[in-house]
Formats: sequence, C-alpha cells, structure tokens
Amino acid sequence: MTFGKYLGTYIGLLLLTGLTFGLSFVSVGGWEWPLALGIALVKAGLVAAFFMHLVEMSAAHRLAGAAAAVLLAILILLAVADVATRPEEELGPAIHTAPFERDHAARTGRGE
Amino acid sequence: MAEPVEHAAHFESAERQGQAATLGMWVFLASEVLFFGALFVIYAAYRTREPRAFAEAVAENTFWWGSGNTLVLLTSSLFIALSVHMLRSSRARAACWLVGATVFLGMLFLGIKSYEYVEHFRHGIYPGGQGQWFADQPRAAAMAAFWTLYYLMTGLHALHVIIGVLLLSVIGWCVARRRVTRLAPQALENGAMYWHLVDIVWLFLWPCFYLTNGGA
Repeated sequence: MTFGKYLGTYIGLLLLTGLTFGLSFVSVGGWEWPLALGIALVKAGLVAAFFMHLVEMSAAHRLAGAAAAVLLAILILLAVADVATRPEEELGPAIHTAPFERDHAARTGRGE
Repeated sequence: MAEPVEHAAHFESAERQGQAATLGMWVFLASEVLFFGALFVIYAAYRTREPRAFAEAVAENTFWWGSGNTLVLLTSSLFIALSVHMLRSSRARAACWLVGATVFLGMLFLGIKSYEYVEHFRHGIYPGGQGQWFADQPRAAAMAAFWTLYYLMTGLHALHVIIGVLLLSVIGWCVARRRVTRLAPQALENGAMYWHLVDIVWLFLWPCFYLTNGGA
C-alpha cells in the first residue's frame, strides 16, 4: 500500500457517500433501501480491502472476513424473504413491540 | 533500527506472531459483525413489514447531523490507516499525530451524536415508543419499533466508538513512548482494524436510519 492508494480509497469512499446522499433526494420506490445497502456494501468492501489491508493478506484472513459477510447476507435475505412472502393473517395485523405494545395500545387506543 | 524483535516462546518468529495476531483480530471482528448483524436482521424484518412507516420515520431524523457524522468517521478511518502506514515507514511522530487526529474525530462524532439524542428528546421521541409524540402518530407501533431500534443500534455503535477512542488513546501513548514501533506495530494495526470496523458499521447505520426516506 502506498500513500496514494490510501488517498484514492478515501476519494472513492467520498464519491460513493455523495452518491448515496444524492439518491436520498430521489424517489426510486421500493428499491431505495436495497440500493443504499448495496452502495454501503461496496464502501465496506473498499475499507476492508485497502484500509484494513485485506488485499495484501493471506487466504485465511480473507476467508474470515468473507465468512462474516456471506453468513450475514444469508441471514438477512432469508429473514426478509420470510416476512415478505408470508400471508397477512399469519403475520398478524401490525408490528408487536412487546413488552411496550400492550401498554401503548391500552393508553392510546391505537397501535393494533 | 537494529534492536532484536522479540516474540513469545510458542511462536517460531515475530512474523508468525504478527500473522496470528491479525488473524485473531479478524475472527474477533467477524464475531462483532454477527453481533451487529442480528440487530440488522430485526431492522430488515420490520422494514419489510412496514416500509412506509420506516421511510416516514427516517424523514423525521436529524438528516444533516447524521450525514456530517458519516464524513467525520470516514475521515477518521483514513487518518488511522495513514497512521499505520507512517509507523510502517518509521515515521513514529507522524503516526502519533494521526492517532491523535483520529481520537479527536471520534470525540467529535460522539459530541454530534449526543446533540442528536438531545434533539430527539426535545421533540419527545424516546426509546420504547413512550410519550405523546408516538401517541399522535398514525402508525405508532411501527414508529416505536423504528425509534427503539435507532436508539439501540446507534447507542451500541456509540459504545464501540467510546471503546475505540479509549483504546486508540492508549495505543497513541504507546507509540509516543516507543513501545509500539515499526518492528512491533501489532497494537496499532489491531486498534486501527477495530476502528475501521466501527466505521463500517456506521456505513450501514447511516442509510438505514438517515437516508432512505422515500425520496422525501
């Protein structure tokens, strides 16, 4: 790694930050959140590869880093797929933020 | 720089010891990722269930302060990476100053974050969905879920920033006293890795809680 590479990584991160920032002013419907997370993933990759020197490390190190990312991606994708594909009646009428939910509904007459 | 490089007896060489320390740090960071990951799973499930309420809640957040904090953390990440670079090229004094700059930016981040919390409290937005502000919301339960996750996840992240600031302060002191040097840079390298992970977590918190506001 050279000084220039660190600076280049930083500029790349700033550009992607600007891109996500700009996207928050545009309406892209349901793709907004996955898109923003995708850009964040690229930024995280840049930080891990260059700032954390993953590019110059052994395969064992890269495997440890990649394992965390892949396992987490599987966990999130399956959780989202579960919630998104279940019929409405199985999920119930609203989010339950137990134990607050019950008190809240009692006090305000809403929330359910 | 002719001093001998010491290493523990159960390692063949200082190089091997260094590699083991780095690998150990990566495994620790991977466990941290899964720790934060579980919270992101909860967020993802709730957001999938109530996409509009979550977008509305994001639009309520302190957008400019949170975005400013992203720049603060990204810049601090550059500084600590450069600090490792400087120490590796035997410029201990520059490395020391860069650690100091990172610590300063970490504290600036915490200052801005505290200000944001105070602003939320002033509006009546508390964790757990208590109070009149939530009672006035059309989707009170979803709003309570969003803001409770917000306090939990950014609070946990802020705790990591506090730990990072303390850790880097000690390491910076060790660099100044020549206890961490070009030949034994592990402490600074691992401290920097921890700081980068804290930065990476924020890179995901930022779009989840500040940016994805439905284009509002």
